[in-house]
Amino acid sequence: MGILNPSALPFFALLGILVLIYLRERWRQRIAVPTLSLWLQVKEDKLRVRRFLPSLLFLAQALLLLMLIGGLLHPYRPVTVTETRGDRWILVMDVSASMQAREGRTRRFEMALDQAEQLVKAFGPLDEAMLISVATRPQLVSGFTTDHRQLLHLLETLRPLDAGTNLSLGIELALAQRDRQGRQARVHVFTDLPKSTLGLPSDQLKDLVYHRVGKSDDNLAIAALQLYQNPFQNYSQAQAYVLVRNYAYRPKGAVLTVYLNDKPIFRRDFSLPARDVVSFSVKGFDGPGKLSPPGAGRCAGSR
Amino acid sequence: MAGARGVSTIDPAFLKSLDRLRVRVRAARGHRPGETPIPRISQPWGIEFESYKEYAPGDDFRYVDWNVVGRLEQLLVKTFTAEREIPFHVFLDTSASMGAPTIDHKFAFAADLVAAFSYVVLINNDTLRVVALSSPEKGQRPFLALSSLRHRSQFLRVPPFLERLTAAGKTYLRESVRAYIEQTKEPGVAVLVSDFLTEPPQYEEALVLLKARGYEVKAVHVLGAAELEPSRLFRRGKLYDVEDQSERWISLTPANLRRYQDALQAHVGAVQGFCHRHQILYTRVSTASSLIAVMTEEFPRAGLLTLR
Repeated sequence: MGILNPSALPFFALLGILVLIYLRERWRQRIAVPTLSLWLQVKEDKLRVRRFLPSLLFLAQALLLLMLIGGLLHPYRPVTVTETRGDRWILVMDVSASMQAREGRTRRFEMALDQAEQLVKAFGPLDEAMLISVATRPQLVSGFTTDHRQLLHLLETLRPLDAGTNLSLGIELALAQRDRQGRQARVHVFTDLPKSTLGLPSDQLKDLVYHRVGKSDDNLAIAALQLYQNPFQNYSQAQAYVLVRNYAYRPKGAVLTVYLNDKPIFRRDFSLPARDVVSFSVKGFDGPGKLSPPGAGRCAGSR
Repeated sequence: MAGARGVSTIDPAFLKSLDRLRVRVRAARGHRPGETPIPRISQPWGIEFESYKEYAPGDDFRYVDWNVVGRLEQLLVKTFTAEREIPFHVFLDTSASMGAPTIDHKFAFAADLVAAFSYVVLINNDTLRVVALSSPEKGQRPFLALSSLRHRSQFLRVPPFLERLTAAGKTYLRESVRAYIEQTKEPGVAVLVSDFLTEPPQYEEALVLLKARGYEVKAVHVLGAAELEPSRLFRRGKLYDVEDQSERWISLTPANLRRYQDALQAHVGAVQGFCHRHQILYTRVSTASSLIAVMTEEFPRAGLLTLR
């Protein structure tokens, strides 16, 4: 145990002053008796009576004083560091739309986040880590840092986007950063995509620590929503196209519902082969309004 | 300095419980006819029959017992227990020792006793003087006395007088009592309420002076609860005598406590023994007792009061 503020040490003298105050009170305090003649046969005991005996109030005050002085001293517990440099880590987080898919009661993204946080909490004090998020393009969230608390905070701020993924690009960025300053970093990837879909050379893949979340590759998503209406057309002539893509490696079925001003105007039951895409045309709008961007749970779902 | 703050706490219900009591008089005499029966003294009229005596010229024929005359052929007249108005003198020690230890409220308790006792005296139509034995340190006369009271209605003058008193100064029982009896012609019953915490010659001479002047003396020894059990007051500390301001550092170990209690018992025994030798009625009361218990149980048991 060490202290950061030794200048507070003299305050310990206050404890002595507190004792002196109590002693003074004890010596000054007199107990009135009707006569001392009855006490003449009792031997006078000045030493024992004047001796300091802590009372409960004194102990409480001394404790309070000690706590105050302790706070001023800024005590700390020294940690013995046997290494001068820590390991390096690069965390690649997939924040694409597929990470929003539910697995039981939680989403894939939260599962990946939990794993990433566990990894950060297990870092040594000198370990450095970099954080990269990847959707359609990679983004450097944090450079190498030893501030693990900040890193956890940045992880918490990440959110999955309504966008596709280009995980290969993010991994390539991580691998490019891996060997900087002559120190090799370990690259951890948190995604729901299978390793085989990355399209990277196997010598690059073998250096990755791959954390795949999700039990299936269910990944049916609305890839695009486009509305066509030229300046000379009214709402009834407008036409919307919804592009739905099955990213999974097996056929999937779903229901697409499109809303206009929160009122369903289009509903279509469909099935889609593996890795296929389908486009739906929505027209005949019965009034002007807001065409809701169909969310995963609202416009498309597994069947 | 302690005041007699307890006097005002005497409530009507308490006073009502005193209505059935009177002071037991053994030897005091009074000149005026009254209501207090005087044992062993007869008079030719009255209520309580005592004895017969042979008729003498001048005796009232109304009291000749004709039944006895018929049987014995002798003129005998009835005699009755004498009933007199007894002058009572209630002395209250107001020295500083009566005010210590403060937690005992000894002086207030003693003042309450004096007030209650005064009430009992006045409801029996005896005369009363309440005398506060003072000390020169207060810049007062050796005693402060309330003028003679004679009737129940005058009891209302007693509590205000007692409330003005404070416990302060040294004990001068001897000098105060001497100064009082020199100014008083008619002896009667003297009740001395004190803690008797003074040099033995002080209280001994005061009591002897009263006896010598023909007073029937009764001593009420007031002891504080913390005096009897000093562990209530302190464990260790600097004690000081409220009268002479001397100090002593005392640690209340079991052995020291025993020594103190031995000394206290010796003091109490000395006062009691002196009273016994001089035929003075002695009663000891503790402030731990309630006032009503003292007046209605302890005093009658000790022979100071009796039922009317």
